[in-house]
Amino acid sequence: MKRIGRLTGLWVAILLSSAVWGQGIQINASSSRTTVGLNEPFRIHWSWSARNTKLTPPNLQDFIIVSGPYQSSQTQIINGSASFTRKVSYEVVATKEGRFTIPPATLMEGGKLYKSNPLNIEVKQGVKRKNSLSQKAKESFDVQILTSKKEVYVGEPIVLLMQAYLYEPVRDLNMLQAPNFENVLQKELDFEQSQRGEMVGGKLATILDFSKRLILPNKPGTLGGQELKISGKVQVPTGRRDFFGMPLTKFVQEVATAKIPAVKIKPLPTPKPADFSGAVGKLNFVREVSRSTISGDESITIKVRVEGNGNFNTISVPDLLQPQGFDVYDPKYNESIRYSERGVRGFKEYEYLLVPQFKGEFILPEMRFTYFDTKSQDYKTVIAPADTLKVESNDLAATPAKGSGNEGVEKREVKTIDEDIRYLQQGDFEPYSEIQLKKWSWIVLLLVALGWGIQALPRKEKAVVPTSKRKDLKRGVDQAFSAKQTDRYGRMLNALEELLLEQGIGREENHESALEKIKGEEVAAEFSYVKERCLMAQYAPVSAADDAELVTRFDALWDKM
Amino acid sequence: MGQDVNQLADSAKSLYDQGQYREALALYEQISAAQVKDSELFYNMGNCYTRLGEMGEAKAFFERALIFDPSNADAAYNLDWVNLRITDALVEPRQELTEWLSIVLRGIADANTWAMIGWSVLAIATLLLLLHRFGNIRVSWRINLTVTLVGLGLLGAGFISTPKNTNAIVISPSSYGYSEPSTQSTRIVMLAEGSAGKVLSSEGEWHYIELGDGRRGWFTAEQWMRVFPELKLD
Repeated sequence: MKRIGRLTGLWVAILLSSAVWGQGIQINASSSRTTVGLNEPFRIHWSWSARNTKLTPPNLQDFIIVSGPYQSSQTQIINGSASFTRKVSYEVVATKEGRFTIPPATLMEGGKLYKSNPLNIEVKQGVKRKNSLSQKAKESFDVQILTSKKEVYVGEPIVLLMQAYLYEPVRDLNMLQAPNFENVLQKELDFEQSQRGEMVGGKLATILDFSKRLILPNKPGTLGGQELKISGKVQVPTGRRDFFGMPLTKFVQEVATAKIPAVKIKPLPTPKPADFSGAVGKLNFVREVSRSTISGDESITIKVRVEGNGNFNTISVPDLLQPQGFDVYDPKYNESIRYSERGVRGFKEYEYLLVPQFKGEFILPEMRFTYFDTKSQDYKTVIAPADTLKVESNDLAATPAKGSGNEGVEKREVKTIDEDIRYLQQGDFEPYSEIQLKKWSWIVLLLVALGWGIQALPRKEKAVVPTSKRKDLKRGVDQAFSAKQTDRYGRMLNALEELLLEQGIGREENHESALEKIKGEEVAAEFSYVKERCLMAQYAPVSAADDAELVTRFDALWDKM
Repeated sequence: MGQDVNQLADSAKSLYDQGQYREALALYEQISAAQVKDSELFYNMGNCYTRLGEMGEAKAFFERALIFDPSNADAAYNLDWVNLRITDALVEPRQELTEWLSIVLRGIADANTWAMIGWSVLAIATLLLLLHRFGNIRVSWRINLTVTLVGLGLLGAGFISTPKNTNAIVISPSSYGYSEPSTQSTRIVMLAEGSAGKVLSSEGEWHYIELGDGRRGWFTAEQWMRVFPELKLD
């Protein structure tokens, strides 16, 4: 039995899904009314038969969405056939009269784009509402805009007060469209919302002040006509009663509209003063000087300020007319502006720092500020009178002489310096001859480098026998032979070897052949003879005559070598 | 040629004495055009500009006179005088160590003199080296090395003392500094006549200049005068 139940459930599920997915998606667009009154709320619906899909609504550019989207879905099984429906709704109002076509909503599913049918809506003025509740809601909800003045000058503030008139309880108040202005500065003012009861047209109404705006017009013309739209849910009695006899009510969405009454923006009277820069209101101009007498190492602070009630969005503070003999640094800017029902109040200020450059008395020029007084309706000029600034210091130079063209200049460094420049110099002018500094320097550097470079070249090593040593050797041989010393032959051989070394002939070399190359065959033969005689005489005694001959030949060889 | 320029200088002095500063300046400019680069000439031109009230040019020429002779006390004095009377409140361009050293060395002798002394000493060093290698006179290598190093030092002094001044002075009543070499770009700073800066580079009719406080901007070249235009910019 249990098994049969499970199988039945499975078949039902299969049937349901095949019924839903077996056909294409259809999107149906509809509206609660096709002919509506201006600012009359009505609903637009789109319904379609597909799960887990998202509808993209069209652009409702000619309508304002009052509420929504409201979404719902439902599944129906009729005679075994299941259907699934999703629905999206918006409550809207038309912003203008005419015939409008709401484009199709779209839906993407399985790579395919589905579209709804378009909707045609006709918007008319004063269409009688089919629903008496809707008509009653309309009569129970109203808005109004009050202006503080009907006529103002350019730059003079106006306050707009927006009020709702509620003849029945209303909830969910929402500003759909705020008044839109051009060429004006508008600020939403902070205020405590209040409501009060008042008899209006024989009916008790609750009046709710819900918004206050400050307007500062910049150009002449007429302000007005801009529309305000407020939506709210009005609690309307249905005329029926419940089980206990209490009257039944229903909340009906309603939109109330109001237009700003015309306000004339007047141009400022002409002719305008030459120094007028557009300031309007009740203003004051102040120039504050911290000290009028200082020493050379002190500074002065000057504040230039415009304060009061006026169009601070366009007011500019006049530049300081600088005194002579001071270095003036970039000013510091301060402002404080508050917006209230009484207009725009506050100040704008520049703070200048002045450092003296010369000692003496300096005139701080007169400054003027002209504005249009909205109270007396004429131009007024506030004057900051001329003042004298005195700089006392021995460290500063005196003020430059008048007429030198240098009056009124300021400088950072303070030095004691004479009154005039020094006279011309007389030089013996010669045309400048350009020296190729780099070129010649490279050449000289190259020569020095070469000089050092050649020191590194290998040179033939010579056993140079100094002249004095050579003389000593010769003298030693002569003395040895004179004294008939036994080692006289050895000394002679040593002297010859030293002499050969001087010629670059080493001890290991063949002396005769090396000497032949350098000094010739004759000298080599003579050297060989003297050498042989010395060697023999060391072992065999020789006569004095032979010694004398040997010394003579040695002397001759010595000179040749 | 030397006589011609000195005659012009005499005429310029006479005109200056008569208060005809513009005419005197024209003659000094003729002398300058004849490639005369004397500190005295630039000093005299600075004096003419001072008398004409053109403080930017005056400052540039006094600074130029000091480049060619840092010991020109009159030029330094008149430069101070001009600086005190121009409205520039900016910091002067920073002087680097090499610039300071260059001025000190030029105060002793100009770059060419340093170089020529250096060449002479190096030539002597070369001669001694040749004698050491090829001659009979033996010279110690220590003496050779010392003479060579002294020569190189003198030559180095010649290079260091070569002026590398890239300063420029505002000669128009004011000059705006822009973020790019175009008047359509953002204005960064406005300078008064006599303000100074270092020219970092040039592009067409624009100089890219660094001010003494580190700010940089593009300025119209014709509103500035280079203190030492002989130095080519990188």
